[in-house]
Amino acid sequence: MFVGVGIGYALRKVRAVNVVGKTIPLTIYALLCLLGITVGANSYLVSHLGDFGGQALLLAVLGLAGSMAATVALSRWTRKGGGK
Amino acid sequence: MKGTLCVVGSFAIGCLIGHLSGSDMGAQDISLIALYALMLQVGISVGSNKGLKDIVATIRPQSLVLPLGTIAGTLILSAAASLVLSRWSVFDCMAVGSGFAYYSLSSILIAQVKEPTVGMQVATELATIALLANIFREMMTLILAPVINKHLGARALISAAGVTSMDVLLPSIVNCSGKEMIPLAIAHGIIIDLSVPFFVSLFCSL
Repeated sequence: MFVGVGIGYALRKVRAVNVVGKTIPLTIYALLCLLGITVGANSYLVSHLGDFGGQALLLAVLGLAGSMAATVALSRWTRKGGGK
Repeated sequence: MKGTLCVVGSFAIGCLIGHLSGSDMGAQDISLIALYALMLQVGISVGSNKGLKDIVATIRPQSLVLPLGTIAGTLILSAAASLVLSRWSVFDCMAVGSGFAYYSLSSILIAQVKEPTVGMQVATELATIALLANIFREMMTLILAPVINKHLGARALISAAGVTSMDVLLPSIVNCSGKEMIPLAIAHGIIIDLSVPFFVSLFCSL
């Protein structure tokens, strides 16, 4: 990735470099399709997709709640610190 | 929304192909090459961004507090999830949380990095959970954006968006919190974006 940052910075004035804006989503879709093939070919994974969905929902709710709680706490703390 | 549909569609089509063929057709090996290509492209995209200097110039030490809160809060409560999800270790749950709504990259990274140590079956299970969890995070933030902004403020909304504060959620952030939040939302998104490969790889290797 850092090699890419260097290449991108060196070629930032070359218009053709903007093509990565279109190729990134295509590469991601290809990778997800490949991940899907791995999942689909695995009958255990297919039969437990609902179970994985429940676990994913729990992780999503906790991650979301944690990030918001920490941000609110840090904002209050920095505001207090700034007032002193 | 179109992007999310394409993501879900690509995954669903892959599932269908895999299910009908009954074989993964060497998908793991091709994925690794495609992943390297993706990382290179993400790097080129960040390096060639003409607005990068302006955005970097607007970053103050105080603006680092926001991504720090996003990372710390997400990781702490993701770790707590392992108390309920006994099948997964603390670090597995933190690897899933480290996606910060970047569902595509985090799930693919988990599948690749975990496979040598735990095998393809378990790595693919965790990657599937990461994909779903991070899609859910983006969708919940998208739906709850006005409520989060009203009750917890603009910073909490940016934090909830994770990586997507710089793209998918940016219009909602502007709608709910105003244009003055744009630099903070983009800087937050870029910092979290760069942290995803680092944290996911770190927690998968622990």
